[in-house]
Amino acid sequence: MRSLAAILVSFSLAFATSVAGEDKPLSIGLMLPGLGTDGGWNQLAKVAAEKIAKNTGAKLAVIQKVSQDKAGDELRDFAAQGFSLVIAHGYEFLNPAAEVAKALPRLNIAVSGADVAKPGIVTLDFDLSQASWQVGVLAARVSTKGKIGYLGGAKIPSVLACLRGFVAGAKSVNPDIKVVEAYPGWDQPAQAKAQTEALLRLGTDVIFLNVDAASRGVFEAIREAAAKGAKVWAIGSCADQNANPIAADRTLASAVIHLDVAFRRLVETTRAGTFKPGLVGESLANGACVTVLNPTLLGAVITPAIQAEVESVGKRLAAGELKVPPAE
Amino acid sequence: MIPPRFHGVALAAGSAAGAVALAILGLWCAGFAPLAVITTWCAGAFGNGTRIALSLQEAGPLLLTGLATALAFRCGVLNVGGEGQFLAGAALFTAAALVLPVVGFALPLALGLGAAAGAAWAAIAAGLARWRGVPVVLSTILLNIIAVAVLGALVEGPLRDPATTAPQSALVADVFHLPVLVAGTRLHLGIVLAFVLAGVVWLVHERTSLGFEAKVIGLNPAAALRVGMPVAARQMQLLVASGAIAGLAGAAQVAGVTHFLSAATTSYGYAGIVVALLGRLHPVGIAAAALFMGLLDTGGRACEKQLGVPHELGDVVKGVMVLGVLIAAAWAARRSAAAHQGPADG
Repeated sequence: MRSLAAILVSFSLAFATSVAGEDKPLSIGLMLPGLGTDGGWNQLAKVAAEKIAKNTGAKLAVIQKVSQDKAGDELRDFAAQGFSLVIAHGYEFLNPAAEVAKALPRLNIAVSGADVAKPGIVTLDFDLSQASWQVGVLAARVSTKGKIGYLGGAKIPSVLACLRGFVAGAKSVNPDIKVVEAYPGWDQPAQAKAQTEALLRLGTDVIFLNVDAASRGVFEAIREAAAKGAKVWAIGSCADQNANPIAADRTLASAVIHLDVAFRRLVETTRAGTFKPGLVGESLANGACVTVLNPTLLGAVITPAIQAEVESVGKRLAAGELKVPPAE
Repeated sequence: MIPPRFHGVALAAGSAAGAVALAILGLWCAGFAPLAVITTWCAGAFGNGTRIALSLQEAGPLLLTGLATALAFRCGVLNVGGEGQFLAGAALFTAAALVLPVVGFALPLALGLGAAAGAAWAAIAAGLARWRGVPVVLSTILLNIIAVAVLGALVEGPLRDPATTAPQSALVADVFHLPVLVAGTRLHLGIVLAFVLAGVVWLVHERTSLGFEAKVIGLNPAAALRVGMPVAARQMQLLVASGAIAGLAGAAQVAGVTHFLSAATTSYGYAGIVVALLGRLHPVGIAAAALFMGLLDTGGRACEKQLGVPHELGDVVKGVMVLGVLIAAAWAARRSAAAHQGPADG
C-alpha cells in the first residue's frame, strides 16, 4: 500500500514538473498605488515592468490606483487567473499581501518600497542614501559658495535617509559646508519652484531634489536663475533626470533607482523556481540604487578628478567601508 | 409615459446609461472592441459569487458615506466633509483597537468610538457655523485637509507600527475584525449593517416628524423658520449625525477590510458625495447608486487587468454620470417650473 502511494506521489510530482517546465509565457502583474503617469514612483515602476516584460517575453498586466483596501482582493484575483508573479509597488501593500500570501502558495508576491520581511513575500527595500552620499560629494566639489540645498517631498524615513547620506557626503569633502533643507510636497511644481527660488536666495548653488512630479518646478527655477547668469545646479533623484527637458544642461547627476534591475531579478527567480521570500536590500552594492553622472557635463563642470572621486567613494560605500549615519 | 414619482429614477438611470455608452464609444474609438469590454466588465462585476461579493464589498462604504452626505444635504447642509469624518472614524477605531483590552464587547465599543469620532469631526464644522457663521461647505472641506494631515501625523507618530519605518499602524487584533460573509473576499457584516442603516434613514425621512422637518428645512429654510421649526438646531443635529455615519464607515472599513491604518487614503468620503447625488438623496436611490459604483469599479478593474483599459476611464464615467444627473435634474426642474408658471402668466 505504502509503495503504491509512493509511486503515485512520484508520478504526480513528475507530472507537476513537466507542466511547470513547459515553455509558457510568464504572467506578471504590477499593482500601483497611483497613476502610471505621475512622473515619479508609479511611472518609474510601469516603465521598468514594461521593459522587463518586453525583454523576457512575459505577459504583463498593470492595475493602477489600487488602495490598500483592495490589495488583498486583487492579489487573490491575480492568483485565480494563473499569474506567476505580482509586484505590489508600495509599502501600503505589505500588510494586505502578508495576509493573503499564505493562501496563495502558487503566486510569487513582491512588495517594493517596504522595509519589513513577512512570510511568503519578497520585500524590496530601496536605499538611495548611499547614492545620495555620492551626489553629496559631487555637490560639495561643484559648489563655490559653500552652501547647498536639499528638497524633499515629505519628511518620511526614506527621504530623511537620503538627506543624511547627502550631508555626510558633502561634509566628507568640506566639513564647513552648509546644507539647507525644505519639503515642498511631491506633486506641486509651483510650490517646489518657490522653495527652490528661496533656497537660491539663501545662497545655495547646488540643489539635490527628491520630489517626484514636483521636479519640474525645481528645474524651472534653476533654469531661470541660470539664465540671469547665476552658477546654479540641480541633482535629480529616483528617475534618471539628467536629460530632463527643462534644465538638462544644469543637472549634474541623478541618484537613480533602477527598478528594472530589481524587477528583472524577480522575473528570473520566478522563472527558475528559485524565488525566495525575505527582505532584499536594494542598494549601491547590487546595482539597483546608483548615481548616474550627466554625461554631457563630464570633463567640463564634472572634472575627471571629481568623477574619479565620486566613483571611488561609491566603491567604498558598496564595500561597507563608508556608512550612512543611522537616524537619531 | 413615466409616472412623475419615478422621474428621479429615470434621470439617474438615464445618466448612468448615457455615461457608460459614452465610455464604450470612447473605448471603441481608442481601439478596444466594445463587445469584449462589455463581456469582460460583466464577468468582472458579477460573473461569479466571488465577483458579486467583491462588488458588494466595494458598495458597503459607499452606501454609508452616501447616506451620510444625503442626511446633511437633504436639510440644506452642504457637508462635503465625509472624507475627514471617515478618516476620523478610521483613526479612532484603529487607536482604540490597538489599546483596548481584547474582550467580547471591544469591537462594538471601538466601532462606536469610530462613529463618535466622525460625529465630533462634523461637530467642529457645526460649531463654526453656529457661533462664527462659517459656511459648512467651506469648513468641512478644509477639515478634510486637516484630517489627512492629522492622519499622516498619527501613523508617523503614536500609531506607527514600530516594526517598520513606513507610515502605517500595526494590524489590529482578530477580535476587532468584522466577520467575513463570503470566503475568499472581505465582504463583511458591515454591508448588512449598511443596508439596515439605509432602511432606518428611510424610515426617519418618511415616517417621522424629524424627517419631515429636515425636508422642509432643506426645501425652504425661511418658510420652515416662519412655521416655528428649529432650523439651525435641526441642521446642526443632522450634520453631526451625518458625521457619525461617515465615521462608522471609516471604522467598519478598518474592522472589515484593511485591518490597519496607513497614510494612503482611499477617498470613500468624496465618493459618497457622488453616490448621494446620483441616488438623488433618497436612501433607495443611494443604495442603488452605491451598488452601481461597486459594480462599475470591480468590472472596471477586470477590464484594466485583462484588456489593458486605462483606469482613468472608470473615473471619467463616474464624473460624466454625476454631471449628467445634475444637468438632467436642472433641466427637469426648469421644465416643471415653466409648466407651473405657464397658465398663470397667460
